[in-house]
Amino acid sequence: MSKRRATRPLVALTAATLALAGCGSQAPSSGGVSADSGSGSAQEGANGSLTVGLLNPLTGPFAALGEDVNAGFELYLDSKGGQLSDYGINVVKEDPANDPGVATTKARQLVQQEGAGIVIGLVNSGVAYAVAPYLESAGVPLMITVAGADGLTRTKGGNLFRVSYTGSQDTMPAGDYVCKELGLKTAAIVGLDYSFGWEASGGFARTYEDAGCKVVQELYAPLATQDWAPYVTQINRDADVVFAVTPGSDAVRFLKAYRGFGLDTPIFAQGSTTDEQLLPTMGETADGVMSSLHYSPVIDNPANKTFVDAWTEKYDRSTNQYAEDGWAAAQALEAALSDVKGEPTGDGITNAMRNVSIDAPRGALRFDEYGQAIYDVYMRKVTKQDGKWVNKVVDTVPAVNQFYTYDVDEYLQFPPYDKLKGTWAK
Amino acid sequence: MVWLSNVLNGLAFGSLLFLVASGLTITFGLMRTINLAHGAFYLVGGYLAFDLYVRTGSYWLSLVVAVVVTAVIGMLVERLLLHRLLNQELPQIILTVGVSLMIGDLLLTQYGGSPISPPTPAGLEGSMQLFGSVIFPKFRAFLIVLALVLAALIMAFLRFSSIGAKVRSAVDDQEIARTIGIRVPLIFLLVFGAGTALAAFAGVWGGALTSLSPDTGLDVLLLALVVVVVGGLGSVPGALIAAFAVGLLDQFGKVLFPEWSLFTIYAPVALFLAFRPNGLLGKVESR
Repeated sequence: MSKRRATRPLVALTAATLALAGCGSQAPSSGGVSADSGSGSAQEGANGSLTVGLLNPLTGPFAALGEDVNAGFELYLDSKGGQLSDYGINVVKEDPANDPGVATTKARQLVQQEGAGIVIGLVNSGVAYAVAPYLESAGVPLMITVAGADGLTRTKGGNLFRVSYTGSQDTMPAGDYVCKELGLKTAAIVGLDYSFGWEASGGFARTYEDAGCKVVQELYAPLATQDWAPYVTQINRDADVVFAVTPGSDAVRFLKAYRGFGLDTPIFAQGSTTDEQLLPTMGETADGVMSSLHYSPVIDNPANKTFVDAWTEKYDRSTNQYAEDGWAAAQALEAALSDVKGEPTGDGITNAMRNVSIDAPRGALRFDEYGQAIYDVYMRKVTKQDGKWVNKVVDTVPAVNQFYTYDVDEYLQFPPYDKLKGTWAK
Repeated sequence: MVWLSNVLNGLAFGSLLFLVASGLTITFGLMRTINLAHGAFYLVGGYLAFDLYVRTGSYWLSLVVAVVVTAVIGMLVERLLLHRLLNQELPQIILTVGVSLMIGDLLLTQYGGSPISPPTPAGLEGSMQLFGSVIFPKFRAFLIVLALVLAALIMAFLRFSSIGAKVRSAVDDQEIARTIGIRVPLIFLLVFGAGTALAAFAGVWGGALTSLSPDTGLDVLLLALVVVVVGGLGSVPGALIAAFAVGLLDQFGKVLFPEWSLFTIYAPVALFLAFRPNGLLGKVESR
């Protein structure tokens, strides 16, 4: 065998490694899946019909989130016999494939080929930033159900609405709460190193420091960090509380390492860190972790009871914020449609959406003039109830908007959170 | 004593990388077959063990069945698909990436996208105290021992067993090996099966450390490829040294320069390969 030949596999392997590195944590596949909804063929209601495009990931790293949003939406629709406010609803699902280009093509397909009158979904904020301008120009309203970038809802009077949180919306009340109510005066922040991590950490740090407490350390780890030990062992043991923003499978690894290395500082987290999708896997390691979020499956109100009963009957597992986002989106659309007279045009739905006010499973929900949801934020604690781990509600901060208690104009003057990352502990 | 904890943890993470890389270096180094579905087989092993453990509650049964079943799947892939592409690296890459995407999506359909955690054997939960002040998880400590034992076993097998000798001869010169009656395709089938069995074994242990979801296969594969290339293709001791080195680099990189955590692995590796393209203990082929 010649030397040149011997190095060939190495060259090929290096090329493949680079290609994989480029993919990052995308994949496992990026093909689109188009499927008609389970609610049957074309629905026609007394008032007419509307095609809803669900643009949520069905493959790739966010599939679990996207599928629960879709399931929540369709569950509400089914509970209403496939009609919302006497409009027959036809659901068309497309997979944005975690790719801004693909997602925009899919959005165009939904609008131009399927005739979608509203698009609901989006998990990845980068994808949302790409899709939103197209829908704006096409005059089709967009209701975001997960994507959290603060900047998406900063334009007044647009056609974009979001039922889920902005990166900092659910953590700003937490800063106040941890400092004043829990009396924990110094905090170490552990976050994922991307825009959501900076926004959620920044929201907490802003109100925490404005309340008179002190962030003493900030650690940011890359997404999909396989080994959390190097970060966990660095955490300042003198801090009174560790504030964690580690959604997804990183949460499982973070908590496992945290317990394994014997840290006993209390943890307060952004609510996605102790999501119900993760709790069964996290088990004991999540015991006692506190968090803030706009939803918990154990909220005690009639809307949530209806939702939880319908969900557990069909899926035999806990509801979670993503399923609730889908359910609440369907509820919001229903409320908007009840205000639309005749043909549901883009402008008609958009205008009606602005005045929507519903009792969602999470509690009262309406939109501010930027299209961002205003809702109650719950302070929760992971507890074992009837043999299952749940996020027990310990306190409620009512009607939280995306600017919290700050003056809007003042808030919009603040530097963006990606610039503030790393400055809180100084 | 923080440094001790850091060193131990670097070694523990390196051990996990070695578990993954051992199977890869065997198939890749010995058969010259690039198997980018290795990360997918890692997932299959972990998911099967998780599934079986939930059903049966028996750790060892879950581990053994998961490893054996994955090895059989691997051998099917080799026999039906890969063996047609002997010595054709680029088609192998396309094919195995395709297999890995298909496995990833099948797992997503079957188990959903939320992370799962394969079982931990009894007795390895919790932590231990070293020298009074350092708290270290037992599971991680055991991983280091496991990697060393596994490395010794593989090396001994290749060195001293007659199958090992046949494998080496089949790799060194296929035609001569065939003329003296060694059934080269069978040997390759067994080697590939062993490689996927090691991937599944790593999936059960590594999954218990890091948890699994259908997309973690790629994250792990990437680091394992680095280990294999740095260690030298087909060299088990090379992979062991490289795995420990990468584990320590990763650990200390994240401790000392957290902002540069990816850079601290890949920059030294790139530099190293520029000067030693064959890796640490890679065979220099001179014929």
